[in-house]
Amino acid sequence: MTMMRHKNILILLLVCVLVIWFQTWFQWPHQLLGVRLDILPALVLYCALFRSWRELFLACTAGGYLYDSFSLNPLGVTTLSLLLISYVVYRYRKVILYKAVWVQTFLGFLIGVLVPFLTLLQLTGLEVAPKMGWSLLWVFSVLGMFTALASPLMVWVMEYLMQKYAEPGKGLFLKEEAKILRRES
Amino acid sequence: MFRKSRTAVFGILILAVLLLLCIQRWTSGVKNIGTILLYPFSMTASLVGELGGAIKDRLVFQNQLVLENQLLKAQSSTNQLELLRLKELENENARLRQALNFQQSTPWKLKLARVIAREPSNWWRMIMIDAGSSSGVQLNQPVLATQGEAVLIGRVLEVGKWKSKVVLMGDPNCLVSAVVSETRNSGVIQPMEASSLDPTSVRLSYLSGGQQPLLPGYRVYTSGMGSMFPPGLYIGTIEESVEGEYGLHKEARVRLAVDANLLEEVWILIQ
Repeated sequence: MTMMRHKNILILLLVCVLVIWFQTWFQWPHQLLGVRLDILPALVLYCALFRSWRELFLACTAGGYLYDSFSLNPLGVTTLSLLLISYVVYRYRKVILYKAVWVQTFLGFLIGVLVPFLTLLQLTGLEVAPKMGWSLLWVFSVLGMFTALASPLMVWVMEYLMQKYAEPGKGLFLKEEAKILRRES
Repeated sequence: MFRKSRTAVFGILILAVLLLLCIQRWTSGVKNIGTILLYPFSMTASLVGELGGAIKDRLVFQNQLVLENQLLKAQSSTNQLELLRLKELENENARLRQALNFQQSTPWKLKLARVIAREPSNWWRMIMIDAGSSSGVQLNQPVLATQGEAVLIGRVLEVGKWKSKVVLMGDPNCLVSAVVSETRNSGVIQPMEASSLDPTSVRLSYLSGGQQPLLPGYRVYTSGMGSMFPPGLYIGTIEESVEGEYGLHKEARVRLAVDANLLEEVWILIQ
């Protein structure tokens, strides 16, 4: 059991590193759309919907830390935004159709817009803050739509990885659902 | 009785053969008639044989073709990869040759560094390079690119042991004192709005006096004021000039000479 959890954590950390590396290395999305795409919110949404709170916090902390390390953002700004929003999703995931692709897409859009928005709000308090402009609307739209599309894909990829390498045979269930299923069987 | 007749037939046959051997020159006609009579059969047999052989050849050939095709495809993809690698090497060679010429033609001590990462967020403009304090890189050193001449792209903002962060022009952390070459108006290079979709567009604001109009194409250089950047580093060209807030000063939109997001190597001005 402990080994499995370690594998979960290893896979999560590995995906975090890959996601950040992708974002800091590949420039073609920026050249194509004028916006740097962010995959981290989709990963955090997956954790908020399907993983334990420990793994969610790990993804937010490790992902946010790596992101801010490679950015001019003050350390912790991204982590805070990710934690705040993903915790709300985690808190209410039992009362939403979290397995439905359209729900994941909708939540992906929300989280894709809200995370950079919250980050930007925090940055406005800095001594040297980014200047706001109308082009931000385009940025938020693209980020929202990208995360909306990326979220179900991320759920699929992560579940594949988890089931193949960390939790073979375990379905996509929350604890409560698993209890009900056991009781019924 | 039977034995007698067998001997007789054998003798007749021997005689016939001997007779035929003796009268060879008259037998050619008979042979021709025989060949003509057998021609359709022999032709058919030959055709069938050829057809069989052809089918066999074709079948073998197809197998060979498939194999050959696979081999050629594999070879082609290997060649393409090799070609790409060679093209990449050729580009790198050209870049480094240009860089070497640039280093020899400048009076400064320069350090070449590779870009290893780029800013992941949409609010800042930054690149990370593979040179740090161990290579003599220090805080606020100007960072250049080459385009026939030295082009300023930013300054060192953070220095690590083996890597540094370079803040690029167009970021609020990188303000540069600049002068318009043709009119000698001086001002400050400032960012456009955050996440401007055009990464090579910046503002030249707080332009000093002078009634001369700023025309598109005028060249902008560092002025040397503030002592962070040496004078004469090329920045870009003016695209259009506008009145600043309340008409107190002039502003101009400047097109940077280099899109730093596309750079793979940069120069750090060490001394």
